[in-house]
Amino acid sequence: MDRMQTQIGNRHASTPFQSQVGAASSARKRYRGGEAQRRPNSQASHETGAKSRQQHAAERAYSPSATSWEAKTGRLSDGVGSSRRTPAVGREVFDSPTPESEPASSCASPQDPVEDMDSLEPWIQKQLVALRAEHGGGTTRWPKYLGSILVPVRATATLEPMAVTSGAELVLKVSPIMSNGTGSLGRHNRNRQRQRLRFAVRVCTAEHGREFGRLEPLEALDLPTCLGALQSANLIIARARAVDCPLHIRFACVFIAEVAIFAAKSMFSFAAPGERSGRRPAGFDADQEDALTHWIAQLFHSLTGSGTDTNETTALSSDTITHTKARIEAPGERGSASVTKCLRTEAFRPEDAVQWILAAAENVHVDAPPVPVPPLLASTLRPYQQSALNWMVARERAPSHTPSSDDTQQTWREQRLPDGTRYFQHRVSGRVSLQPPMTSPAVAGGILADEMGLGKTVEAISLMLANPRPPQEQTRLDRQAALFTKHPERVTTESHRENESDTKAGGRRAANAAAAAQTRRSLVDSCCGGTLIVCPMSILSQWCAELNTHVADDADFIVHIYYANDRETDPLVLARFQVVITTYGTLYSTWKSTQQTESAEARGLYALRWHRLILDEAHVIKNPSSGCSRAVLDLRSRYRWALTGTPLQNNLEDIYPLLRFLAVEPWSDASLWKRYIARPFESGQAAKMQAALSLLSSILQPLMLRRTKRTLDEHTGAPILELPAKQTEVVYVDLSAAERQLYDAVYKASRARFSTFLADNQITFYLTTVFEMLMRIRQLCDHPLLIMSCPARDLHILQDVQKFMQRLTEGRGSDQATTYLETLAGQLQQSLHDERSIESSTNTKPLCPICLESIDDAVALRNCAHVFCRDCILTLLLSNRHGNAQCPVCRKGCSFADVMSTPRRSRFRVDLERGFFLSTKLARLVNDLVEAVQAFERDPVRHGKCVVFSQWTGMLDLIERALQAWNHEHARTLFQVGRLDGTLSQSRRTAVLEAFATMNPSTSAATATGRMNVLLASLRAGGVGLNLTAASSVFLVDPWWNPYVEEQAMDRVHRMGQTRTVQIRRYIVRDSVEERMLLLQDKKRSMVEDALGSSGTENQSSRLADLLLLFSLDAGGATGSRSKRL
Amino acid sequence: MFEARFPEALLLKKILEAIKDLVQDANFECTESGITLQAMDNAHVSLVTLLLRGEGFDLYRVDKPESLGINLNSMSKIMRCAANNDTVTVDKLEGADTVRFLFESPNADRMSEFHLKLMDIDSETLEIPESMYHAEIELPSAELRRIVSDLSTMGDSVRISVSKEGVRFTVRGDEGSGSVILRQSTGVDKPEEAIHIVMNEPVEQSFALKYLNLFCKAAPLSARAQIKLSKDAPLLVNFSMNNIGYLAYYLAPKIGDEDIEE
Repeated sequence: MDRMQTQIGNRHASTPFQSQVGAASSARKRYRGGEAQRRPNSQASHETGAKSRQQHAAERAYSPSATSWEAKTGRLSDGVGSSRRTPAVGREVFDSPTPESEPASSCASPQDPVEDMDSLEPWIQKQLVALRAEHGGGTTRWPKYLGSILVPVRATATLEPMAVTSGAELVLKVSPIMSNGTGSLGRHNRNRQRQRLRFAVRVCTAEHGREFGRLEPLEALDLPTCLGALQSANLIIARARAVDCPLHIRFACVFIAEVAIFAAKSMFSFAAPGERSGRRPAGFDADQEDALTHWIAQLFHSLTGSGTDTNETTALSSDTITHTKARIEAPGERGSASVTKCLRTEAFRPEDAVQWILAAAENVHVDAPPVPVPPLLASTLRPYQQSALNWMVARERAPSHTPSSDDTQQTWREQRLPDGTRYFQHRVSGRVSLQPPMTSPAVAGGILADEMGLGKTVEAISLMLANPRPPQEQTRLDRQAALFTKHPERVTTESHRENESDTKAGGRRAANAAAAAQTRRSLVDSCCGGTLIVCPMSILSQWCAELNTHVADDADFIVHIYYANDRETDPLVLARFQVVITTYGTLYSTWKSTQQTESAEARGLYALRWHRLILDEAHVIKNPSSGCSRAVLDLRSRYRWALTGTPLQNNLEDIYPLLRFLAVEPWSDASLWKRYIARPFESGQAAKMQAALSLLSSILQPLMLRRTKRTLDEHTGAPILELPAKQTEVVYVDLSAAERQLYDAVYKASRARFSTFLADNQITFYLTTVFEMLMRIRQLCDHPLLIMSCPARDLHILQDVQKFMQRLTEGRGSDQATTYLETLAGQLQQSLHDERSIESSTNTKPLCPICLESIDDAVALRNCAHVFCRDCILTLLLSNRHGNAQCPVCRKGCSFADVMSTPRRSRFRVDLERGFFLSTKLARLVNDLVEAVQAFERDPVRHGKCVVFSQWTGMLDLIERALQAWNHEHARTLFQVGRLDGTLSQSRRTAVLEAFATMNPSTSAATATGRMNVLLASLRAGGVGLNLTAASSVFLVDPWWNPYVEEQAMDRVHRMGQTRTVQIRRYIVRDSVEERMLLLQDKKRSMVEDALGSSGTENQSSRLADLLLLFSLDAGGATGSRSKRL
Repeated sequence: MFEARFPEALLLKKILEAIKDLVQDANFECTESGITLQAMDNAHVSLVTLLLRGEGFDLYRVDKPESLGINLNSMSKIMRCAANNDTVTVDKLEGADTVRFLFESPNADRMSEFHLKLMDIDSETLEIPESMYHAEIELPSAELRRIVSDLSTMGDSVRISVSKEGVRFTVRGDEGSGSVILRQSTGVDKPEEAIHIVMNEPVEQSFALKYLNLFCKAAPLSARAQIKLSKDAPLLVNFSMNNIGYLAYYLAPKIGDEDIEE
């Protein structure tokens, strides 16, 4: 009976399809696996036919339903090579409709020698034979039959009756469609052509080759373009025959053709699976490759109904989630946090997503086998650090790190061709492959996302010591390297010298050298480096210091800093170091140079395979298209770790580059990430967003370890980190009458201006001006001199200020305030006068040799020390494109690197020596500092040093000046001041930090720097990543918009290692914009985004509301007529 | 059986526009190498030749050389039914007395076909001798069109003289006279605007502006135009369409136009 059905099926050449075409508007011949499952008895109705039933069989066995996975994966892992499939079995699949017999045949050897030619329709067999004879000389099994699609054809000509009948073979011709309607030929824009290249597939009669129709696009697929693109890339061959054809084909009538598609072997090797950035086949660029992959996916989709998961989004994501979850909940892994529960119970707001994910990822308890503390570790680990170590070692040693078929199943779907050949299709990109795809081994490593101050560095160091490079690798390296000389340079120089004396042996030596180079290369390939740490430049020295502190002295533990010019480039030498530290910048430049050269020396870090790769502050790579982010991908290493306190900063996208770096399959695939996480999250639909969120959190769950300072210990219930108390005090400062007068005047003028902008509805247009005004007001709160520190080209502003102050003092009695203002105005007048007189007199100040005017913002050239305006020399250098610019004075070569700033006298227009005075805030600060420093001098155990943060380096200058003045006045050097701002070079920065960290008692005759007790740091430069635990008093001179920035700064002091009570003072001028900034900070603390940091997502209305608040205008009081005292 | 497909109707439209005012009926000679057309105007003063190479088409197929006698006005009416970016397929079956035009829009959502009756047109094909011209000028076609249309407002005939100083187009009419001089220029920035003048011998001839005006309707076909002059030989104005072919016009010089010669 089965055979009868087969015959019936084979004979159905045209008739059954008529009904199909009529019923379904898409005339695809598709046989979904799903349909078969819905009809398990599979008493296939006539219309399904034999061929489809055979597809059923294959698809049912390999359809990615969760139940069939289990059985299959077991088989895949134990017997991939065994060939269980025999010809007889193959027939059985084809013949037997009973589902029971299918599993026996479902596993085939990858070679798959059996071909079911008989199962194909005769005309397809005929085509196959012809094609193989044509392409492979009849010896290969390629091309292979992929399947058939029924396509409507529209006639473009009228033929004689009976010229083409059903079953007649048709010839297909592919021609590109010009879609650039610009007119005359030969003027095509290549790019546009590529983007919009479309094809028409014409249908010709087999006898005369007369064109009489073209394939119509299907509703879901531009089939002609698909076929055209693939066929012109030689990936497929299409053959067709008329199926449902009227007797008389007239112009514009539609008939059906069956297009049989044959795949060339190149299609399956088109994009080799498992390659991430990989080589692409010659002759295709990235765009073409993308387009072709897309068309392959589309083609398979229409052939089998199961190309990529475009229609099965929900199915896959639930599959994947189940699987991801299953892995999390597997015994041995950490217990699952009740992620989904949180999601359902909490009211969900999209802007909380980042916080939510972080909170969900916070995990207290780590079920990992305890690891003994490595003997080389000099410091003791706190309990939570020990558990982090346990977890990290477990991640590195976990047996699940072998590639599992599970992972493969998530990304690749196994399918069968009609002739039984097994292939794999990528679920998202649609790439196909014959070989079982090699998923890159599951990630060995993870994200250590402990909050800052918990000691990620120590945890990482302990990991390095606890799971070092296997000793045999080290010894093998030593032994082999010993055969060679350690320094290849020496070899070459020696042989060179010998060559000179003995030219006869030259040839032999050259051969030896070549052989040596060859061996060297293989040696480099075989050996394994230690741990590579990549960190931002600013904390490079801190890493060295931490390694020094935490690793006991050991001769074998050598750290190399791969930075600047003295770095080691020989991979063999690099491999001998236990730890190599480099910066993101260096890594990127190395990466760029590796693109150009193949020599092992130039490849440096990239020549080696590393034991472990650690990215510190890994959020640096959060932009996936940035060079750094791509540079870290190409490093080879056994384990990969990302250390960051803020794995997500602004949005969920931030985590993707980390997943990509860790090669978390399948999520490191950008398209998959976008489809299942990014896009659903951006869709704005709560349900989709929640699904995306819970998916992301289940991905992160096993990968990420995050504890915060508030995390409670699982056993004791106490916070895991006990820090000394932190006392925050807001010091309110009342301006003196004179300052108040000045402040009020400037403030009112600014507010009036703001109101005009507001009335004109031009706030967004003048936003920069508004912020500039705000800055001036805020600077006034600090010190009036600050607003005079603007660059010389803004002299007119100063003139304005000066006039303004003069006007203010006119017509008043000589009270104290007026005197103050008069003094200020006088100073300003003087300075402006000086400026002008300097400009006018050529003797006092040198002229710029380029613009022949007095030098503005002077810079000098390193080689010849000639001085120019910065603008002038930069313009000169820019205009010279060949890099052979010369100094205009002495004709010495110069470049951008040679330009250096000349030391500035002072940024202030006012002579600081004569015109210096204390503002109220500064006076208060100095008083407090005196107290704090004296306390430190008295009792360095209970009181630490002082750190002063300001956002203006100008203010830091003034503070420094004030402290010096104090020293001078009291004739003793109480204050030893250090500076930390963006202008410091790496080495000076290190020196300052070291000096500040040393706790020399003040009585000792140490050097001045050793006694540094006050550190003046700019909020931006000193606020990140540093360890300033030598201090215990923090002075925040002015508030910053974003409370988190301030908190970051405080945490520099109030962090692990701090033993004293931390005293924090924030100086706020009463009744001023600063007070309102505090309000704003409170408001922001509840928001995630840094609204004034223009992250682009904030809405304008909230920003406007902020501005109104700062100018203390109500939303309704936009006219500014309120007389409320501010 | 003859089949040819133009990827864009615009090209065919432009070609027709450039010819149809000069000649009414013409034979399209279709051979394996391409389509040629040669025709003289009614007054037998000018001659137009068109060559469209077979390689320039999307599809070109000629089983047996055919001669399609077509009334260009009717064909131009049909071509007006095609959108500029439509694909045009022209075919004629063996022995048929009509030629078929098939227009397909790029999206294949609109298709139209037109049949045009063929005519028997007597015409002998002239051998045009390949000769060395005394002067050859290559200039932007828009420039040529402008000169010709400017000058034709003044008078009926233009005197073209090529000398060492350049090319001079002189016109003398009832209201007055005028002249345009072109000099050699390399077009440093825009090579497509260069003017190349090759002079073997000074030439001076006058031509009817009416015809030159008609020739210049071919300007949209090509960015560059070539003018070739010889003493006692017709003027050649050639518009070449990069890889497809060319459209060339020959014009007999005016004789006895002595008043200008002075």
